[in-house]
Amino acid sequence: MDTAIVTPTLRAKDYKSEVAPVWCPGCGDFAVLSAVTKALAHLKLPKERVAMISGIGCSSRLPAYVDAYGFHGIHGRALPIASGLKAARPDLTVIVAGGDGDGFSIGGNHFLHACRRNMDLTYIVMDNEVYGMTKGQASPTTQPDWAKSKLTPHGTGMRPFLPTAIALAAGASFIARGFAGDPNGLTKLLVEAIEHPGFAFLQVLSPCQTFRPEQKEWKHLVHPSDMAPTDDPVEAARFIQADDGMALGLFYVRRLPVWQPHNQPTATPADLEREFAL
Amino acid sequence: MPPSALAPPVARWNISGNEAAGQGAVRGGVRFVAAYPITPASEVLEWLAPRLELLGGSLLQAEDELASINMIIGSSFGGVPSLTATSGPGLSLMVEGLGLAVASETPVVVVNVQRGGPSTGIPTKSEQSDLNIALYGLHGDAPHLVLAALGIRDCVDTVEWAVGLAEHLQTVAIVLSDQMLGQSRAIIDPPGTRAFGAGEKPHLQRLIAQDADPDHRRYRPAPDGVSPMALPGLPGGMYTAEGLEHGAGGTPSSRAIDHAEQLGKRLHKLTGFDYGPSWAEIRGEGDHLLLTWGSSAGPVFEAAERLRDSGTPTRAIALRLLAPLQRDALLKAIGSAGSILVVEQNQTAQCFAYLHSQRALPAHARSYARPGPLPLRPAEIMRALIGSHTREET
Ligand SMILES: Cc1ncc(C[n+]2csc(CCOP(=O)(O)OP(=O)(O)O)c2C)c(N)n1
Ligand code: SF4
Ligand SMILES: [Mg+2]
Repeated sequence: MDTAIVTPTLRAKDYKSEVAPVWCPGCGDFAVLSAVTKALAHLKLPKERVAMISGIGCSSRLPAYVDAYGFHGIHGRALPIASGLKAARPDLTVIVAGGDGDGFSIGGNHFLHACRRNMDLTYIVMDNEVYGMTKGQASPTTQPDWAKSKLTPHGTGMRPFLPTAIALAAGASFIARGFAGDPNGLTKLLVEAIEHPGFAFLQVLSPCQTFRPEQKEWKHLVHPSDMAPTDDPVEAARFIQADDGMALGLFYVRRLPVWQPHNQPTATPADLEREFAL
Repeated sequence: MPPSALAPPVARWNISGNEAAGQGAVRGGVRFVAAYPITPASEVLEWLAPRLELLGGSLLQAEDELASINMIIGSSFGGVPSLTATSGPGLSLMVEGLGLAVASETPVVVVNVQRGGPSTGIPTKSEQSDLNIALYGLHGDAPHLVLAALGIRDCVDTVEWAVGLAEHLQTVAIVLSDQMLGQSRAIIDPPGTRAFGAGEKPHLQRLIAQDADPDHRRYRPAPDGVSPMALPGLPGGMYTAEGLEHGAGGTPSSRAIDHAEQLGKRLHKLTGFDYGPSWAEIRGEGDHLLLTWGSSAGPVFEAAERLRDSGTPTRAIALRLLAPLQRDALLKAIGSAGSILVVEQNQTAQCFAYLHSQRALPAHARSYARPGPLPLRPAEIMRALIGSHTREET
């Protein structure tokens, strides 16, 4: 990497783009956007070296609001877009952002494999336990008895997906949970996630004002994790299984091999042709 | 001086169509590939994996084709020419991603090595039945390139050309090969050093924004529809690539004026481009005409040659560039042929129907279409052309 680049000191607001967010007033995603810009400023990352990648959903609108390179892709495919970008351009800081539907439902398979591939990516999931963008259907993290969606008038009847447990089982090397109502804690976790060499998964409890107004109560329910971050997957598993889903902090961090090709050219296409010659 | 003293003898090549497609890819500049295995395309990917490393590139084995197509969109966004190879079922999974590449103007190439369909179909046998999905599989108005390799050697040139076109036009190119081309091996004369010996033309490559232009707008309309692409790392070029309809700067927009402008940009950059003479391979002259595409070129050229040898002047046209269709050039090449037969290896005459829909065929043109897995034979093509023609005359 070119270390000679001199970056003028940027403040958080310098990382905000001129595009006005489409989010409802009071949406938790505003706080996530602020935390992202604060973390980028704290890390002094040159804007042009940052790529924000997302799928589709309210939360997936975030890249356009950051003054960096971005890709607002299709529903569920943020992680593959980011993985291809990082494989081809290891010099970039690649941050993936999206929702619980985008990441755990339609993109669920990519989540598993991104965890185990352990590329140096940061993955922020703004979890509001609902599909906000499509007006309030149940998501994989919705409680089974939530019956406010016309699509599931009796609730889903399914146990919710446990993102942190699944990330651990799938091999993620950094697992944390933040809360939109705790901007300082969230910024700190984001800084750690971006600095972590490997796949850093950050679940952010980000209330949906419009379709889950009861999530206003989250601010009374969240609590700091009572476990120091561990690198022991067994200890982390025990903690995560006992967790009420409201513990905040870094749960698990471990140095694991990072998947990243770094090939130097030693041949040209013309050299390869010789193998065909009779 | 004898000719042998002028030029050293050129060694011929022993190559399969799938290896040839891989060679065409790296010649075209591809340095990133995402891969999900599928018969009969896997050898393209397996050939590329170690060789991309030698070239300083890489291959990533994806979890599925939804991932592989989106991975190459990501790498291409990063500035690296990118490709994947698959077969029918995989192409079906990729089409939403292809639409994203079209809308976001991110160049990608998919080599689709066709097999018998539909569904899992006949994985190990050949058929030309993916033309419809290649042409029409994407939702919305999503213009893109569709090419077909005409033979094993042609896999090198056609894939190289497809990469160049996709890069230059910032769009999707689907290259149709098939099991018969991909998994057969042949001894060939080495292809020229550039696709179709296109030495006279400037090398096709991506238009990359070079300086921090304070007025950089990624999707700003340009006379030829191709706007410079800022690559991550360029200060001042920051933008968010979009699959939502957008204005010139990339900001999502549902305004009619932006939609019309961007639709027009994405269409006209393809239809306004000069593709030169490589859109088809044309052999022979005659009042009889065999028209085909892709790998059926082999038996069709053979049939036309036999007909000419036996005193029936026959022209053969094999389409390499299917979309955008070079309609005027095709109509000119068809000329006033009295007997026209469109030959292809699928049940529903997909190419025949396509050409008619584009008003690129005279009304008296007939179709000879039959499904795989048995390869088309010159004799049946000759019978189809001459047999009924003779009947018409009697
Ligand atoms: C292939 C596809 N299927 C469905 C949709 C419709 N859709 C858009 S966003 C979304 C769910 C978003 O939920 P989530 O990811 O939780 O984001 P939120 O809006 O809650 O932030 C759905 C189903 C789509 N855009 N594409
Ligand atoms: S619908 Fe919910 S998630 Fe979407 S912007 Fe509004 S508050 Fe936020
Ligand atoms: Mg959601």
